[in-house]
Amino acid sequence: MTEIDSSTTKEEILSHIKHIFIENFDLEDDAIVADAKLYDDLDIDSIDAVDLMVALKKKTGRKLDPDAFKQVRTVGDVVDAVHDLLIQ
Amino acid sequence: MATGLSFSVFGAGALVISLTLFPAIHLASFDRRRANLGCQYVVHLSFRFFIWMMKSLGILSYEIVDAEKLARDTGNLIIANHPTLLDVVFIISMLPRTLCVVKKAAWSNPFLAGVMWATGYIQSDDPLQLIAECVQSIEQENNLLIFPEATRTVPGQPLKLKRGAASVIVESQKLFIPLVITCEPSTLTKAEKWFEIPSRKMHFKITVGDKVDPQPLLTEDAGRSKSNRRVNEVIRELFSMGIERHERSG
Repeated sequence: MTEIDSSTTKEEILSHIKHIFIENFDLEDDAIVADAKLYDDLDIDSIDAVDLMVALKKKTGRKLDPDAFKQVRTVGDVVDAVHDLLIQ
Repeated sequence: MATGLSFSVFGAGALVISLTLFPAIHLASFDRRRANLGCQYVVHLSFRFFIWMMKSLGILSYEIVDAEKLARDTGNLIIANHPTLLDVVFIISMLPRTLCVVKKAAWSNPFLAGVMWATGYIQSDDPLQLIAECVQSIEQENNLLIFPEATRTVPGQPLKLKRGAASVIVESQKLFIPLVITCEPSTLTKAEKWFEIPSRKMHFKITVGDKVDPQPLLTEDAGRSKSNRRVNEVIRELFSMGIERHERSG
């Protein structure tokens, strides 16, 4: 069983992602909004991005495509990428 | 005038050595690593000469506080702030065998490409590979120099550090030596063109800090990303305090 599957809504995915960000990156809950930019606003670097992908893999049971992830700029983009992956 | 001369000597020297001494060293040794070490030593001597030349020409003066803490051993991880173009020249002139992390562009700079290939300096391109290579090089007892700012300090802006250096510390769990550099008056920084030289002689002050053990910052429960942030914050504080102390003591 995984925490996120194809029936998970985008709102629920966002709350999972918030949880990962708070746990891993010491970020404040209210800073993590859909249009927050990962690099500029949240100071997520490329090493964090790798850790984020590992955390997401645990929650979804699916491997995220690093190339698709390169296009990701905001928190909302992450939510969309995860959502798209699961409904495929 | 003298500064223009210095730049020319630097560029020409790098080119000539890249075309003669470096290939000779690599041809003469069967082992690539040994050849790298030989070339690092050549860079060290060249930089010592270069600093001596600039001092003799009256372009700069410098003081190095607690230089003995860099005791000529190996396996030091040196984390320095990066105000000017000459920082790397000073640091390598103090240490015979040092690897640096250098941005990828240097490999395609005609003056520097030869140095990059010959010495085995580490490219800061792919972050994960970078960290792996840095950790490996420390374990092989190289001295390793990283500027966490990645590029020269933007004067007047708060210090902003990339967490690559912190990641290397977290991953290797090795002690590191913080090194604080300041230059008065401001010159060769990001904000000035290289030929905009102050009329006053520039004075460099470099303080070698005590080794810092990252162990207390690395707790089991904190993941890698959290540990990186903690270590990064410690480095930032060490730099800020060191720079402030330099400025106060004049």
